[in-house]
Amino acid sequence: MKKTVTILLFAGLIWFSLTAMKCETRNVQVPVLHFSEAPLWVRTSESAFQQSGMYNASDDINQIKEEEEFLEILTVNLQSVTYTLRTNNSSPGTMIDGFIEVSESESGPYKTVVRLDDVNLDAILGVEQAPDLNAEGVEVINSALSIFSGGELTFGSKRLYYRVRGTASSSSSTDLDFILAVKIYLNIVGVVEAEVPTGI
Amino acid sequence: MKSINSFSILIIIAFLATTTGSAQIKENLERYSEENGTGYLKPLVDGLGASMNRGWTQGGNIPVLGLRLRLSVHAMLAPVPDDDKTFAATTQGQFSPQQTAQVSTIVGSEKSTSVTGQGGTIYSFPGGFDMNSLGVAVPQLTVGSLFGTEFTLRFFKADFDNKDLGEFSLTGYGVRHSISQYFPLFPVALSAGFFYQNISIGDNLLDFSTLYYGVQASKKFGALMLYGGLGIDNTHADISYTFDNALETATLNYEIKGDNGVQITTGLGLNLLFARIYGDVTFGQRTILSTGISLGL
Repeated sequence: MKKTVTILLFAGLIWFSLTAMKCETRNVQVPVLHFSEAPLWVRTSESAFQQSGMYNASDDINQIKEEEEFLEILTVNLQSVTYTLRTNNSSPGTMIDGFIEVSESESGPYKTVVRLDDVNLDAILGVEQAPDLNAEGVEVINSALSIFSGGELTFGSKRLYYRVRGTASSSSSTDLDFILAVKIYLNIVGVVEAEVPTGI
Repeated sequence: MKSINSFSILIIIAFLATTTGSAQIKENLERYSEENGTGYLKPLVDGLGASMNRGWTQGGNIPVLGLRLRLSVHAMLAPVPDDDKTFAATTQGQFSPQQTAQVSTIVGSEKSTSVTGQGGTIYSFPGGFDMNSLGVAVPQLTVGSLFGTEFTLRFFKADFDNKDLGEFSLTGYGVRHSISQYFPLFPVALSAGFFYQNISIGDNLLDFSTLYYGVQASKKFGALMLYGGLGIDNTHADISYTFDNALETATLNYEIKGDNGVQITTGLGLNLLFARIYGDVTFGQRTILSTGISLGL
């Protein structure tokens, strides 16, 4: 009896040592939020306006991959688009209507991601705006970002072109002079390796 | 891959001392505010709290006087219930509309969970470490006996070569007093005691405190000893880290209470000449398996 209990207890001790203390590798999927802001300076004496720019996410995503020690990037998706009026030297009371549009090609076609309806420039100065997003524009951005998903990055192979265009309204003068900063929030999911002890 | 301090794993707190795991916990936490952070970490607090409170005693026998000096190592294992693998997390920051989803806790699946928002935008929550149990091993020194009273100490300190994790320390102490000495005809050895522990990791990332108090009873049958205990656990963790979601940065300090409550332990020990080995099971809010070996008088 004593011998049996001794063997059982020692066996339990060894089993515990092996199970409770054993380490295994885990590939944990970790999201990182990254944003990129692009200021567009609109300056015109006409009522219609248009300014455009280009964004290549390769450098940002590579830097995140390095900093976060990602083994690989699983997905890169759009989480949100906002805009902020940084400066406004337009005529007082200027209202604008228009669009923030995106395309995978400089020549288009451009798809709307944000509609600017009766935006009072004086009222939004310095305040980040989180507008409703249009599915067509979101799809264009996610498509442009899809090359980063699931493997090694291709530098500069795909760019995102964007523009803001519209018309001024409700102002005695049509002088437009403002900087609109468009901010895109990217949700980047990568894989990190971590050692954890495993048990039963 | 970051290096791993295997020595520390063998000696103490297997999960928390795992440098790569701990550093990643910190990074995952930094993406969560208090509400989500509590849900993400709670299974760790519950499981480790319940585990850390075990192994203090094996039996109720304490001599009234005489030298008692024991150095021991205790290993505890808390199986993770399925309910601990997920929690309800809420999207934060620039994402619309706000949504709640069942996502991985720290012990849950490695896979991240994503929800779809307005226009096809995506929000993702971090995955967990896919653990089926939480294991703890602690060294312990017991000194006595003075009028049927003995003192127990747990101590470990290490400075990990990891800027994210920093210093790790465990301090624990307890006092136990023989009750049965006052009742000479009492059929079993009976004692009562309390035990306190503190674990500190990093720059106040996690400050973990446990308190256990209760009574222990045992009966010897030759070299064998049948023992049991009834007690109460009280565990909480103070969490402190910098929340950073690219929009805002804020230092968060909050408390997570463990699954506190009554614990019932039953076990079997074997007394050899200068050694004792044992195994027991504790039933409470969760089931804990313990075993250990002690050397000394």
